[in-house]
Amino acid sequence: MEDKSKQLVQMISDMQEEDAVKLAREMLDAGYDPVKLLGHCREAMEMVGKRYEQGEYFLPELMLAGEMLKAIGDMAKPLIKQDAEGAKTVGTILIGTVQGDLHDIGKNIVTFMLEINGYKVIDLGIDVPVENFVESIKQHKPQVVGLSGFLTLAFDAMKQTIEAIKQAGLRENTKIMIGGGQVDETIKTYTGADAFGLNAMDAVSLCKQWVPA
Amino acid sequence: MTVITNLRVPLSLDDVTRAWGSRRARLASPRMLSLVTELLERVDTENWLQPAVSFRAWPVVESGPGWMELSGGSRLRASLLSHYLRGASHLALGVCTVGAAIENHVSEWFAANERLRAVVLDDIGTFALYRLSDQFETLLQKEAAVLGLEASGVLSPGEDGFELSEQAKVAELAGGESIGVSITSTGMLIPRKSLSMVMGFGARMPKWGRGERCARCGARERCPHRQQVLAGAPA
Repeated sequence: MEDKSKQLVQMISDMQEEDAVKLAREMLDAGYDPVKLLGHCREAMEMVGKRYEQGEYFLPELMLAGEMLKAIGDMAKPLIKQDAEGAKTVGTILIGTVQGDLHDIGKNIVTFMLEINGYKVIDLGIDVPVENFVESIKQHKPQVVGLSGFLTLAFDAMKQTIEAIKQAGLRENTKIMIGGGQVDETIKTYTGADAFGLNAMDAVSLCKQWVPA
Repeated sequence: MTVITNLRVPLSLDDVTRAWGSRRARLASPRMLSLVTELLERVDTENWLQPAVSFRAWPVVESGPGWMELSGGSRLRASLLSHYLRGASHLALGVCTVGAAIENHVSEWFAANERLRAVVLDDIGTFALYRLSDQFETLLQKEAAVLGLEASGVLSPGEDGFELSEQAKVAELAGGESIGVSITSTGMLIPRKSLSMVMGFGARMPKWGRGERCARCGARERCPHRQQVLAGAPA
């Protein structure tokens, strides 16, 4: 089985979708531990993430790898006992594109990448009013809030949103990351966020750092 | 104002892989190639590209540091314009779009968790928009020639030195509404796969390509489209 697990990691990281899903099915049918299987998937995803960071892969590959993980996860998760490690949700992330901005591609990609990394993601959509963020934080109590925005004008909306979260007394227990467009250290400081991400993998890394599995 | 809607924006698998190939160390997988082929076919047979351009060349009546005034009294404020286009006798203001069909399908597919298809289709839409803008640039160069003038390179709101807040004015003066392009209060064009642009017409106009625009863009290091756009851009 060790050979097969290595093969699975290779297939996922090399984008061999059909072969990878078929092999995972065979392994599960042969009684392979589904939690271990998901561990191999995470290992493969880390390889894909590295290739993405090194410019070997781009967004379509990230999405394809994510879809493979989703397909394998859907097969493996029903076989995992509820109290087993692999069945737990790592944490809750609230995400949305700030008011005045209608861009959603980046946010959707981050949402997906967080989900396949085991996070529960509450996606508030686009053009989200400040008060919706505040109310949703009260309701869902996320560990991390992600504010997305592509327009430079979105930076003001990010700042206003973070100020409103602070005024509502919710800032202390909530990490806030921003992403999209030209965000950088200066914009992070301007908006009052804890960190910024340049891409979906950065968002996953930040969440892993703040809300480890 | 001139409106043109009978445009073709041909895109092939080769175009997409060439654009992708320029920025990736690994070749696209067979699964990816078959998906691109399938989506290009749907884009073509189901008319998901609805390219349209509108433009008007406005005489420049006065200019100063950081502004240029057009006949009719409209004033564009942008240091980039006055820096590069100060010798222009006209400013050609234009808007182009590939329509809303592609982005609507992208949104639907994201909502249906078909994310890979959504991302690849979004890339195709972006390639199409840049190809259309290249055609538009050539068309405006011909317009300038008809007037016996030279055309400058292209500038767009949102570039450093040309605030996005000016986009509403550019879109209005270019007749964006006549091709179904509207603008939000924050300066975003709808459909999102749309661009606005300004070119100077004059006796001697400076020229530059997309590569030079990319080189002076503050987001160049992280822009996912920089290299792929360059791959298909005119020299």
